[in-house]
Amino acid sequence: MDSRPDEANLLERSRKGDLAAFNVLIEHYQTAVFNLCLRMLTSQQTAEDATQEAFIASYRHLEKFRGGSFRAWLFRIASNTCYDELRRRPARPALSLDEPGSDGERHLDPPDHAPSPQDRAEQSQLRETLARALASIPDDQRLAITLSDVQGLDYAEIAEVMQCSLGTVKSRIARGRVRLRSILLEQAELLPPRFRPTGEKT
Amino acid sequence: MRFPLFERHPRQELSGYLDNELAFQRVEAVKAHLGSCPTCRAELDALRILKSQLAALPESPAPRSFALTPQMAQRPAPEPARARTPARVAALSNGMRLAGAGMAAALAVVMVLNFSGSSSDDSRKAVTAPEALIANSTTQDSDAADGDTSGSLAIPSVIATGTADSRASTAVPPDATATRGTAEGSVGGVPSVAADGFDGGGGSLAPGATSQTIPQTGEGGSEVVPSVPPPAATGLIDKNEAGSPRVNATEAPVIRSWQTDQAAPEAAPAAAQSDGGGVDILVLVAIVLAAGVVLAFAGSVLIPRIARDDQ
Repeated sequence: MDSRPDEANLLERSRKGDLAAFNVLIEHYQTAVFNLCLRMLTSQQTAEDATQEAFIASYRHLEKFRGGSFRAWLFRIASNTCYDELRRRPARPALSLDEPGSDGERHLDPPDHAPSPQDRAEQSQLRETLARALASIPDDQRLAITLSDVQGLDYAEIAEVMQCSLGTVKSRIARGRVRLRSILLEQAELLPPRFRPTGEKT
Repeated sequence: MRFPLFERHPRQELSGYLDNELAFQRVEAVKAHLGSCPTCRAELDALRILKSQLAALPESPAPRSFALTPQMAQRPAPEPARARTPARVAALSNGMRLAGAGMAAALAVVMVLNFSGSSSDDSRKAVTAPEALIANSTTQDSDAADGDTSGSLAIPSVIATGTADSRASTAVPPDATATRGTAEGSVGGVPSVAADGFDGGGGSLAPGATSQTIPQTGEGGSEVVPSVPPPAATGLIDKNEAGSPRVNATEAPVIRSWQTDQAAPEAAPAAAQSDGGGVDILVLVAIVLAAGVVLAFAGSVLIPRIARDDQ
């Protein structure tokens, strides 16, 4: 992605009120932002709303962006929007890990095109279980792990997004992964044998 | 051979190690540990698999374009306004309600003082006699129970607010036996009673006590001041005889009624010297408090309504 100079230029123009320039940036980041929101909120519609809201907020507050990683800044606004939404929810119904895919709204794992039908089924089952496990861990840990493992940010960038120290990032990711693993171990029987977490192999 | 004391499993660091986010020394330490610990190697493998599975979670394509329209770009941000105003208003409203309740309580105290004080015009004389108080506190002897000192210290401030009654000016012995025994013994420390802001019949009892010179009898409690209602008096005597070290609200005024001139010679003159100018102050305070109560409650109801209309 060698869009750095472009990005700086687009940002400069956006700051001066060039909405078209900002929309180029949106187009570039919208998939990432939407997926972040989707992982955090687990509902397609809410994630869509949060994504739109985050882009609106970022355009309005563009003067507050003081250089550095625009992606991290954008993710910060998006994750704050998600936190607002999560807080607004009365009592978030814990996603039931026992009945995968019963609800169309909670289709966390879009179908993909794996080579063989069996492979595809197994992969899909694994992803569904993993996505549900991810949805069930604490928000901070989910955000840190999503940023790290799904979005591929390094710890420094995650610390920028989450406005916390590197140590906090480190411990959120470590604790989140341990938690994910124990959930997957509990759910091991739902997984195809070759995907079962180590330690539980039979 | 492993040395468990020196070689804890670096569980929390395995994630950082996997992500290449550990400091150099820690990387070396974890690497060394992994070389000799199959448990941690297995854990690291599991984390690696988990990480790759997470990375393999497919990205959902954006369901639509999120490009901003000029309307979206211009509309004032609705979120912060909606989120913040109710919280602030609610806090303000609650604060006013609390303040109203506090003032209502203070008003009740003042009213009780006011009405009970009207039975004896001496009631506020004692209030305005801090010298008496101080004199009593200084005569406090070793009979004083724990906490009496703090009680006597707190009293001046109570008087300053106008909520204390004349009881405060008279010494009340912390030790009931001292009351009944000698006159000297009854000059105890000022009790915590007064500091507690007790108001019920006490206000009417004490003034009578200060204005009248009651002959102290040998047995003490047997002589009851005329202004003391019988039930209070009997209750008091019982408690005194039980030797309760802590003087409670009901006994305080009555005990005082025995001893006044003899027990606390400094107190009575000082109380008698002051004049009855305190009546107006109490009425004034009552009016101010009443106005405050009304304003606070009205505000707590009206402010949220106004704020809602603004939106």
